[in-house]
Amino acid sequence: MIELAFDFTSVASLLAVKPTRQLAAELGVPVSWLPFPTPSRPATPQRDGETVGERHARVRAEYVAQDAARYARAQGVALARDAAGVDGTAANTGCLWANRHGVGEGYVERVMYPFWANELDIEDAGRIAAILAELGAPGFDAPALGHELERHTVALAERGVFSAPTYLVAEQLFIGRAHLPMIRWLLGGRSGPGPL
Amino acid sequence: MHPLRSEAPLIVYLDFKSPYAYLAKDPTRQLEQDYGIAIDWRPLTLNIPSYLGSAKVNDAGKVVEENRTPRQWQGVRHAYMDAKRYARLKDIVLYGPKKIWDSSLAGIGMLWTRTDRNVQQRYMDLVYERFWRRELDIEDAQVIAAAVAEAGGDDAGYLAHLAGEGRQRHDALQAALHPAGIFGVPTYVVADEIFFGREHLPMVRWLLGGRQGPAPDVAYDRFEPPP
Repeated sequence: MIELAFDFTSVASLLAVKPTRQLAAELGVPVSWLPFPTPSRPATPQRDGETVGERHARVRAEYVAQDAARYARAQGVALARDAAGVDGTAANTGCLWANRHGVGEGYVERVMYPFWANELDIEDAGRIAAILAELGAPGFDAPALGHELERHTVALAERGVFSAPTYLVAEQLFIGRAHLPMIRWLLGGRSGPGPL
Repeated sequence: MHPLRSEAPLIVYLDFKSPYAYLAKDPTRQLEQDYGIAIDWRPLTLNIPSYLGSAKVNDAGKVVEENRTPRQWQGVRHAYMDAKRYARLKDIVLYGPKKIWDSSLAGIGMLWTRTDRNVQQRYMDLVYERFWRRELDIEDAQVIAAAVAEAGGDDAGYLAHLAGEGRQRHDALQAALHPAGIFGVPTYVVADEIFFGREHLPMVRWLLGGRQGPAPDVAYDRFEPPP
């Protein structure tokens, strides 16, 4: 089992979906898709008098956006927007509902890719409910499940999760899809030299 | 020295006080053999307190000074844990530093030794290894000079360089990095692109190897020489 804490509004989570599914298929293990809301940080424009720390944060944010774009191209994933200011609560709550009905993976696919392709408003709980119904998980009521998302998030935080995507494998946490070789090594019985 | 330009096909920025840069050193150096290239190694002296707060611990590991948010602590602690688990797989010793070091003297040593690749390689190896074993005071110019000498370099020349244009060249390079889009280590500059983190080594290898096959994704991994 690969447990993956992710957020629909995290571009790093978007880019983790495909390689995670590939590794899971290779190893013959299921993925548990665990929504984990993370704060959305709007990009800060360059301004006169910015501190070294502010400049560092700006340059890093610009890099992260460029980096996501080039790997999205490499993965063949549409990346047509950012997620600044987007509330992912309905989509993340919908994932809990999908998991309850055994359609978590299909739901991630149906919501994550269209959102980043700028083809789906994930703040529209009605659209989320419609997708869930199409997948065989009717009756989604986002407000009624709000507390469940909160409890679920706290439970993940108590396991040490603070960022997305985070893999929870072999009682360890791994932030980012770059760790997939390590996860392959761990789940494959640690045979041969470990990754670096 | 322009931060993005070099006669070498690959520029690599490292900082001796970064465990991630330490982990990246050897798999990055492997590129020289695998692709028959010379790497332009350069220092990036991280200003950690400016973006990650600061802290100091005593000999018992207790925090005696700090200026970090809970989120920053969480990130820092996870980063060290993560670096250590990969280091263990390669028998690299990483003792957590007791304070945030000024690594500029060691970085100037990296620049000073760059005229002889073998000297620079030995210098980087011994400074990294001993610093992370807590056996090297990288804020002491005499200690760094001794490391230069042990690596086969000119220690007196290093000290003279440090007192003269060495410090100026280092500081000028650091000032040029943010405007060029470089902010962390390890950073790779190849084919007019910037990559931050050793997880990009598959992509760096793909670019150096002539873009054969589909572009790879990020990965912390081991690599076989190209066919």
